[in-house]
Amino acid sequence: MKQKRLFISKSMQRLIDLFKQIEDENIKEIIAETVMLESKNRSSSRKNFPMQNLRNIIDSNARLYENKHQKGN
Amino acid sequence: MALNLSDVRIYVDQDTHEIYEKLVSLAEKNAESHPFRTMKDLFVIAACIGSQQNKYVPLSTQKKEIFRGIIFRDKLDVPILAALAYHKERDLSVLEDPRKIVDIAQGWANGGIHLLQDELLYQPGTPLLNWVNMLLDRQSSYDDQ
Amino acid sequence: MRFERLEILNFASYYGEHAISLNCTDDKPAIIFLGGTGYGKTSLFDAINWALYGEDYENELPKRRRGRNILDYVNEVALQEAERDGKYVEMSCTLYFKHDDIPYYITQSLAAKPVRTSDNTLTATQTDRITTLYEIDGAGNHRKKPYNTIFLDEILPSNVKDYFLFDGDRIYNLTKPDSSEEVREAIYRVVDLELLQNAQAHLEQVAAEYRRMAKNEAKGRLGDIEEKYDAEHKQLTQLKADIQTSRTEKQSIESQLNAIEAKLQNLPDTSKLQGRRDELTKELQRTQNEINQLTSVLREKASIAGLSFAAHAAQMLVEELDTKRKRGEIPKAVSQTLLKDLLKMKKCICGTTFEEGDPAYITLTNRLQAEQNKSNQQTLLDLRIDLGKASVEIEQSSIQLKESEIKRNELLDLQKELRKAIEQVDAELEKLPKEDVAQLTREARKRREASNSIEGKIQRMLERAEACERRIKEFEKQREKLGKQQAKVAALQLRETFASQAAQEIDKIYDIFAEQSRQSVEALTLQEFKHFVRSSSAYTVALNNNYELVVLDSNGNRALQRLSMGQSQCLSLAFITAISRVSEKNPPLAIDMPFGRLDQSVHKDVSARLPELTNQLLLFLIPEIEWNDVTRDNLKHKASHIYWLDFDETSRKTEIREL
Repeated sequence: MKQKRLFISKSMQRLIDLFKQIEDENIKEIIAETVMLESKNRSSSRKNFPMQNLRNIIDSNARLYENKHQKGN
Repeated sequence: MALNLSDVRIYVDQDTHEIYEKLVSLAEKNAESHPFRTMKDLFVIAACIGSQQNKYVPLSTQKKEIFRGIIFRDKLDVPILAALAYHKERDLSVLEDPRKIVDIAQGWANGGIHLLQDELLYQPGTPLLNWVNMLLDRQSSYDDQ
Repeated sequence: MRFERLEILNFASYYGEHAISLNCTDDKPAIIFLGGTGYGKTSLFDAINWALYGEDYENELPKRRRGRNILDYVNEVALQEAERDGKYVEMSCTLYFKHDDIPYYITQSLAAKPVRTSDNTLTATQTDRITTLYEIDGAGNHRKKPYNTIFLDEILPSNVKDYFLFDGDRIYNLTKPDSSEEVREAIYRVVDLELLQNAQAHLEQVAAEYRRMAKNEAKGRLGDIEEKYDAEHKQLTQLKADIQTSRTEKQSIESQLNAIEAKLQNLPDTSKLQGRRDELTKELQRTQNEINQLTSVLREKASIAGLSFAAHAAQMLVEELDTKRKRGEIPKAVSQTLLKDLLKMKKCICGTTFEEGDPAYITLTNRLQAEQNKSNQQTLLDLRIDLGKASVEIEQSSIQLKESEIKRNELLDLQKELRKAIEQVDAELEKLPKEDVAQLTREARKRREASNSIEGKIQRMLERAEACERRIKEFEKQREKLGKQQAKVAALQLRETFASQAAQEIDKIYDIFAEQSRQSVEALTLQEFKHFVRSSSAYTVALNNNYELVVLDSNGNRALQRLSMGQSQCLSLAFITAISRVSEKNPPLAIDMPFGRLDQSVHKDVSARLPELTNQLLLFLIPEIEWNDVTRDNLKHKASHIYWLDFDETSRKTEIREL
């Protein structure tokens, strides 16, 4: 199967450039995953946004942070 | 070789920090309500006023860092702070110690900040215009003398 | 994406099966459908939309097509036959297209049963409904794919389809004064601002959940803090929502005000007075800008002039340093460079030459050594010089401060006079004998007052929001400190912080991104406008901060009213095409009756430009009115297919014939 090339429009590129300016890596990661989730669920015919997926994104990033800081201790 | 205060940290008392926040804003649109662009600007002015009023109040143990000395202007802020340090100690050897110069400035600023609060925030009118009037009134009283 | 073929079965006035080739080439991107009113042009347009968007499009039909629903499209002849034969009727639309060189086809089909209503009308009742999507692979196999809008969103997102597949009425609507909301909505959707806003809202929702959980979990003093923290957040959220509502209200009022002022401008009795009012208003704005600049200058100069409070201390130090200098404890400045040069040249200032080891050489060397050791004294010397310069700078700033203050006061006085002058003009306008003028002026004044009142409300709410944010920061510090003692609460706090901060970062980015997007759409709209209306060089187009499409003349005055009907419609069209270009999806453009409401004067430029905008252009045109000498000349040689739709009144069927 042909590998799909990801198309990034100029406006999406501008958004990506703005996101790159976020200093906190954890927050940057959460935003990236959230935006991707929103993108997959943005159709007008969708019933409910999958909030549990968003909670999972926050939770997994928080766990990584906690593990890193526990190890550091 | 000029005096070098770049490596020094500047502190204020914890309970005066709120006054600094009320009077400082980088945004131009807030200029009238926040007469000072930076913490440094306000700190140096407060120190000048504290010295002029002869009100020296050493910092308490509850202090908060508000900026680093690297942002002092070498040809303007630094000589003024040196003068304020000399005003306190009357001994030129104080100028050999950047930490000492800043500590003294902190004490003068701790004394002057409350006066600024009273004049700028507790008078009718916007804080910036109160500040400008305070300066112009002082200027004209000198001109009259 | 390119459409390849449309197959319809018993759809609208198309009885039985019909297949229409939509193939085109790069140099002939147009496919033209010609047919009179009611001949089935719009039905083909609907067929394409239904094939692509299925249920989404069905849900829009009542609004778009005056109460119709999809079952109204079942062909009446086929329905009658089904009733006669006691059978079901099938209706379907299949659209073949290519995306990334891969062929696909989507089919929407439904089965319907003929039913007689109480007043003996024959209608259709749906009994079955299917949507399928197939990919045709390299070997010619048809592989079923899940039909969902994720797939379509990548090609032709549903939320912006109105800017690729649209009808002529749309062109008419966007330059009306109250259309700024629609304009903003278009940009909002096409550049994913909607997505950002949803992301922010969802993150805030999750943050609120974690806050609630932390509040429930926390004990003792931490419990109190969590309670207060949660309450502050709720208040802040409410304030932000109220601020947004007020801003929207204010924008709406300002749009109405602009419309009233535009009307007044064009009335013969008022144009002079209204012109004067506009000039005064602009002058007032300019004055305000100058005042704002001077305010910044005052702040800057005051920060330097304020150092004069140290004058006494500086004087004391200067006196001490001067005394030391007089006593020789701080030597006059002797240039080390000069001494080095003399030693190198082996010649003194007085002209005496010397060699190494000579007394003159030794004296100079010792002097150089002494200078290099005197860095301390050099510091004091530099300090003395700097104090002198600082004093000059402080004095200059004091003078500039005074001058700026005087100038600012003059401008404030000027502002007062300008406001009075505007009030006088308003009073004269209100006194004019013509009732409509007086009425309009009164309406304008009411709106200005309302706008000011709302702005005051917004400012107060902003201050309350800032105070809320300060309290929240304080609570965050206390939570962190106390939270460390309760591990479960700490974990919840961390998650809440992550979600909150992510929402805040998006908030920061949102305004910047929205502004960039507005500017980019504005630039493209202007570009397209110039193409569509070649005689428009005197005008420029702007999309202002309130998302109003405005046209300005060379003096920067609003000129929309001076455009012809056709030109202002072209402005809408320019905006629509700008939106489709911003999306960069490069989809086909399908326009139902694009020239129907456009003035003949602009038919030439528009018909020349449309084929340049896309690699596939479907136009549904009324013969004579829209397919005339001018448009035909421009479009004929750009068309891969021209279809004629023939509706037979007797048989109630449309036939399609390629010309």
